[in-house]
Amino acid sequence: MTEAKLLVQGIPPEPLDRPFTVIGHSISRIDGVEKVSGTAEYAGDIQLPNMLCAKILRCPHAHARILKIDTSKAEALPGVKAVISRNNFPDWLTYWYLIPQFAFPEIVSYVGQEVAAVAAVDIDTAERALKLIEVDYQELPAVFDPEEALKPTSQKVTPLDVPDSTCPRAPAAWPVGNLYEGKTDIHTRGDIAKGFQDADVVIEEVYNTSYQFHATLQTRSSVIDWDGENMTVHDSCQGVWQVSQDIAKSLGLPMEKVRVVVKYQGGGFGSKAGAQRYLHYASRLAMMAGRPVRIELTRPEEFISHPHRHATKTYLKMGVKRDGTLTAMEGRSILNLGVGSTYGNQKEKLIETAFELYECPNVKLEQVAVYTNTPLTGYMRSVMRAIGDFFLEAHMDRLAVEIGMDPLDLRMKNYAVFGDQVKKLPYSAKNLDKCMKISTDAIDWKHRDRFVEDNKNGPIKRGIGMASYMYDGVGMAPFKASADVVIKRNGTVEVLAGVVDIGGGQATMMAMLAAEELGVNVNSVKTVWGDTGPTQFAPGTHASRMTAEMGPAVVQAAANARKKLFELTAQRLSAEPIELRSALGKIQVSRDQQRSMSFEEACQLIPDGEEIRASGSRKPNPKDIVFHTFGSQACEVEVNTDTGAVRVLRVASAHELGKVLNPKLVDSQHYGGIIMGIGYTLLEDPEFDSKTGIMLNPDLHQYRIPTSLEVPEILPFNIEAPDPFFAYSAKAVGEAPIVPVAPSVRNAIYHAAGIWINSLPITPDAVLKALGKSK
Amino acid sequence: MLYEIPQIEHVNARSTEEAIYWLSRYGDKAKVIAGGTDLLSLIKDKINGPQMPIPEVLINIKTIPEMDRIDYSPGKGLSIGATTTLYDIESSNEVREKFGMLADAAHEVATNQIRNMGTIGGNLVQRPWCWYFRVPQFNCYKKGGPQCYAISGSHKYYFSMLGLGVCVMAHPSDTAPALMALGAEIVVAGESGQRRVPIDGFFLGPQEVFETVLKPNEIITEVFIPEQPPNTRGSFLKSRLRGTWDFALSSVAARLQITNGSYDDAKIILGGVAPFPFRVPLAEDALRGKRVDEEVISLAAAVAVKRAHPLAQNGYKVPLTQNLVKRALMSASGLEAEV
Amino acid sequence: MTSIGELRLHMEPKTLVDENRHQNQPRRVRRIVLSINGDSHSIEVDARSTLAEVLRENLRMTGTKLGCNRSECGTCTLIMDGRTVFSCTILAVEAEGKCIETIEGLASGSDLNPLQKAFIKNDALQCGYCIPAMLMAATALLRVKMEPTEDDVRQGIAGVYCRCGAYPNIVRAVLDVSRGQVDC
Ligand code: SF4
Ligand code: FES
Ligand code: FES
Repeated sequence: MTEAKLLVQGIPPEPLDRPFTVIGHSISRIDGVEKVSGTAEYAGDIQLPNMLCAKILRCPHAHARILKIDTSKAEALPGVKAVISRNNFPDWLTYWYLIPQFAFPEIVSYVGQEVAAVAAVDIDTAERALKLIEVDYQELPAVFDPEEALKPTSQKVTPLDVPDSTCPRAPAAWPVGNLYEGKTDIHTRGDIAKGFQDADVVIEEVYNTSYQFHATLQTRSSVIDWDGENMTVHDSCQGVWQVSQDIAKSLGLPMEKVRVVVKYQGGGFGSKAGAQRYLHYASRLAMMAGRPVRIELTRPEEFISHPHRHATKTYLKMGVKRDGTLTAMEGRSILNLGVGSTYGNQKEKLIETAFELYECPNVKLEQVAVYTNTPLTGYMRSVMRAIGDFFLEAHMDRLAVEIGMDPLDLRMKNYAVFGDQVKKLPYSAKNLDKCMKISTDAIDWKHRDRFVEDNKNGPIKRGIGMASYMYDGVGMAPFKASADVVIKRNGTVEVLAGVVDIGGGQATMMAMLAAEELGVNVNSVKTVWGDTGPTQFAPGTHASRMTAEMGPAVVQAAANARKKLFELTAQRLSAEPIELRSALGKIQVSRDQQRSMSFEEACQLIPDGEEIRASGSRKPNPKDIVFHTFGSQACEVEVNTDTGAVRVLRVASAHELGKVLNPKLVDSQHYGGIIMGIGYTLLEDPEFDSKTGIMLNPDLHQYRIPTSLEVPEILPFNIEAPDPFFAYSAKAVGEAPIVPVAPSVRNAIYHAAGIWINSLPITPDAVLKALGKSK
Repeated sequence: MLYEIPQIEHVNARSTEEAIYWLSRYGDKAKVIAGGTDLLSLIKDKINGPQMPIPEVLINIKTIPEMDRIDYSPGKGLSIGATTTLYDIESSNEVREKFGMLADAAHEVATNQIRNMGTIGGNLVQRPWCWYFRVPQFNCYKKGGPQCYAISGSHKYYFSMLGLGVCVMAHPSDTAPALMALGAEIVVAGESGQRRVPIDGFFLGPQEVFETVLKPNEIITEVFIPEQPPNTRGSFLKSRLRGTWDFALSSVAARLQITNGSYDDAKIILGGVAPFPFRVPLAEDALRGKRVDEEVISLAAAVAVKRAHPLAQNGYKVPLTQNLVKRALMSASGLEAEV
Repeated sequence: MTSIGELRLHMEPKTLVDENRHQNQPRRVRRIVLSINGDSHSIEVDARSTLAEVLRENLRMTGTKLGCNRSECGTCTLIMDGRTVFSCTILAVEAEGKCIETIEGLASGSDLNPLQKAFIKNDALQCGYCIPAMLMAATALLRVKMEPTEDDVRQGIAGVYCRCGAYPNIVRAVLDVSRGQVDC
C-alpha cells in the first residue's frame, strides 16, 4: 500500500512497489470445485449421531394474549426430548444483532410468531408433539396498516423489541399510536418555505413500495451440537461471530463456548446477518436435551418468520427552477417496521439518499417508523437505500420532464460535492458524474428520441431511463475486523478470516489479498473461513462491508507476515529486508534481480517446528471525511400497452468501487443486484390478507422471483478511483447495483409509454390502469 | 423441511380395475397419484377441510401400462392416455401437426420439470390455485367450508373476472381450453365401468365444491380428440406474469373453420378468467358466416368480454383478455397481428 | 383401452389375484432398488419419502438440494430417464426402475466434466445452492440440443431459480461448452 491512510491498527504496510500480480485478475473462486461437484456442505446436509429434530409451534393469530399453554401431553409423548415455551422460559431474551427480543412474550403480535418449540427423535414425533400443545389465546384487535397504526386511537402493537430503562420501547407509553419510540427522525436544513417560493415548478407525489422477501434458495437451517459444555452451531448465517455473540448472550454462555461454523450457505442478502429467532430455540433445545438438534425451516415458515425489506409510503414535494436548480424538498416517509426490525427504526437511512445525493439548500424530510401486527422486518440488500432512491430518482425525472430538461442534465447540474451538506464534509472519493456518463453512453442516451417514430405504431413501446445512487459499503461500526496470516515451513500460506462467504466470493478475495501481499499464487494460499474456532473476530458479511473492512486487516496481516519472512531471507540474499520484493512465488532483491530465491526456499528458513504468524486489524473510519460508494444505471425497457407487460431489455450499470479486486466476481454482483432489482420492480408482490394478516403467497410460485427468462442484457462498468483508506482502494459492490433498478425502470416506462407509476411492484394491472385501459 | 408428507401407504396399481378397486376400498382416505406435482404439494401444505381430507393411501396409476400412450388413428382422432406427460404431448409430432393448439397449450404449462412429470389427466383435475385455497388457514368453500375469502379479500391474479357463483377462482388449466376448443371427450372409469364425458360437460360451475364431474372413486383413463375437419385452424395464447411457472392471467383457445375466406364455424374458449374453461358463444356467433377480416375479429373480441364482471382488483383482465382474443383470432385466421 | 365392464366392488381385480398378491398391497415401507448414476442401491424406504429425501437422508448423497420442497423452485432438479424432474415431488417408491442421474455423477473421480469447468470459469455460481440443479438442467439440455441458442439455454434452465442472479454467467457457461470453448 502506498498510503499511510489505510485504515489499520498500528503500522500501515509498506508499499508494494510493483505491478499487481493477483489483484485485478479474474481468478476463479477458490471454492468452485466443491460447489459444482455437489460436495459443498450446507447446514442441512449435516447429520450427527443421535441427532434430534426440532419444530416450532407458531401462533395462528395476528395479535393475541396467551392465557395458558399446556405442554404436558407433548412432554409425555415418547420420543419427545425437550419442550420449551413461556411455561419454562417466561422472561427469556434472545438477541438479534445484540438487540434484545422476547423469546416467548405473553402477547404474540403477528401470524407465525413462535409460541413453543420441541425436539424429538424424529420429525413425525416432533410434529405430533406440536399438535398436543394446547394454547388458550385471547384474541386482540390487530392493526396492519402503518398510517392506521399511527392514529392515537389505534390498537397498540406489542413489539418484539424489549423495552428497557434507557429507551422507552413500550408503545403503551408512547404518545402517538405505534410510532417508534414516540418520535420521528427529521433532517432539516435551510428554509423550505422560502425554497418553495423560489421554485418555478413544485411537484408533489406519493410513492409506495412493497415488502421484499429475500427468498434465499436455502431455507434457514442449522445443526446444533452441545456436549454439555461447548456448543457448535453449524449454521447458514452471514456472520459467524455475530451469531456466536447473539447465541452466547441468549443462552448465558461465554462466547468462547459457542463456536459457529458456516462454510457454505445458500444465500443471505442481509436476512441472516445476526442469529435468527429459530436458532435460539433450537440451541436451547439442544442444551436441554443434551443431544444434537437439527432444524430446517419449511418454505412457508421461511417466508413468515424471517425479517424482510420494509413496505413504505412516501409523500414527497420538491421545488425546482426552470434552469434545473433544486430549491426545496419536503417529505414524509412512513416505514412499516412490522413487530420489530433489525437496526430499530433504521435511523435516517430511508431519507438520507434524498437529502445527500443532490445539492439542495432547503430540506425537511421526516422518517416515520411504525410498528404494526405484520412480520419482522430487517436488513436486505440495500435495505433502505433501494427505497429511498426510488422516490428520489422517480421525482427527479418528473421534475426534469416538467421543466423540459434532460433528466441526465438535471442530475449533473445538482451534483453534490460534500458528503454532509450542513457540515460541508468532503467525500473520500466521488465520481458519480463519471458513472452517469458511462452508463448513459452505454445505452446511447443522447439519441433517446430514436424510439419516438416506432412507438407511434403498435402496442410495443420502447424507452430508456436512468437513476443514480449512493451506497455505503465503506466500513461501519463497530469496526471490529481482524485477520491472521500464517506462513508455514513447507511453503504454504494460510489466511484465517472469520467471515462467511455468502456467494460474493469473500473467501476468494481474502486469499487474493494475502497472495498479492506475499507475492505468491492464489492456489498456494489456503483460506480458513466461516468458523469462529480458528479465527479472530470479524464482521458479518452484510452491509457490503467485507472488502472494505476485512481488506485492510488481511493486507496488514499478510504484509506483517511478509516482513518477518523478509527478515529471515535478507541475510541469505545479502540485502536489507527493505530491498526485497516478492512476486509470482519468487523473492528478489529489487536493485539486483539475479539475487533471488523461491518463496518455498525462503520458507525453509523458518526455524524447525515454528511458523510465521501475523495479524492485522482495522481501525474505525475517521470522522472528518464521508465515505460512500456511488453509481448510476441506465436501462432500456419495452412496454406492451395491450398486456401491460414490461420487459427490461438492457441495463448499463456503472459503479464506483475504488479498485476491482477480481473483475469476474464484481460483475457477478452487478448481475445479482440488477436481477433481484427487476424482481423488486416488476414481479415480487407479497400479499397479506387484509383482515387476518395471514400471508397468502408464502411460496416461490406466487411470490415470483426472476427466472432466467426475465434477465436483460447487463453491461457492468466498474469505475476505479483511488481511495487510500481501503485495501488497494477497494470498496464494495455487493448491494449497490440493486438500488437504482426500480427508479430507472420506472423512468424508462414513462419514456416509453408516457405513464408515471409510483408504486412498486409495477405489475400489468398497474400499467393498464395507468394507460387508462382498465379501472 | 424434511418429510413434510406424513406417513402414507402406497400401492402401484397395475390395471385400471385395480386402481378403482383400491379407491373404492379406501374411500376418501385414498387418492390417485400420477405426476404428483399438485397432489403432493397440497399434502405437504396440509391443505384440508370437511370436503378435503388429507389422503392416507396413494394409488399410483403410472404403473398402468395402457395409461401412457398417444395413439392417432387418421380419420378418427387422437387418443391420449391419462398419465401421458405434458412433455410427451407437446413433443409428439402427431399432436403438433394435427392438434397444434394442444401442443402449444401443453408447452405453456409451468416449467420443464413439471411438464416432464405432470400428466394430462392431472392437468385437468388440478385443484384451484387461489391463494386462500393454497394456505391451510382458510377453510374456504372449496375445502368444504362455509364461504369464499377471495371475493372480499385479495384477488388480483388467479381469479375470475365473471363475477359468477360462490367461488371466484380462475380455472388454472392451460390444456383444458384447448381441449374444449378441439371438442375432446374425457373417458372416465369407475366402479360401474367407463363413460365418455364430452369436455363441455366435464367441468362444474362455481357453486360446486369440486371442479369436475369426476366422482371420488373415478379416474380419468383417456382423453380423446376427434379428427378435425381439414379447414380447421387453431391458436392458443396465454398471458402470464413471468416467463415460466405461472398460470394464466388469461388464456384463449380459438378453433376456426374457414372456407373461401369466411368463417364456417368458430369455437372460442377463455382460460384463467372463469372458474371453468369459459366458452363465449356470442363471440363465436360474431364470426360465423362472416368474412375473415380484422374488423370482424375486433368485434368478436369485444363481444367475448362483454359479459365480464370483474372483481375489485382484476378489472385489468378485461382489456387483457379482449386483446388476447383478438390476437388469437388474428393468428388462427392467418392474419398478421399488430404486435 | 380395455373396457372394465361390470366390476363388482368386493371382487378383487385380476391383477390382484395373480402370483404377486402379497406384494401388491398398500404399504408404508417398501424395499426398493434405485439406480443412481449407474449404481444400484437396494434400500428400505418409507412410502412417503421423496426421492430427494432418500438421496439426502438415507443414501447421504447431499449434492441434490431442496429449496421449497413443493415443485416451485427447481433446486432439487435431477435427471430421471433422461428428463429433468423435481426430486422433491417424486416418491422414491415410484422412482424404482428409473435411471436416476445426480450431480454426484457428473465428475469422474476428481476430474470435473467440461460443464462443471465452464461454470467455474464463467463464475456461474455464487452461493452455489442452485448449482447442482442448474448443472443437471444444463446437462439434460445439451443432450437434446447440442448447439443451443442463447434462448434455448434460458428456456432449458428456466425451471431452476437462482436468487443470487448468476443466470448470465450460467447461460454463458452452457454456451461455451456447446461451442467447445472450455479449456481449463
Ligand atoms: S375463490 Fe374459491 S378457492 Fe378461493 S377462497 Fe373463494 S371459494 Fe375458496
Ligand atoms: S425443492 Fe423441489 S422444486 Fe423446490
Ligand atoms: S448461486 Fe445462489 S441461488 Fe444460484
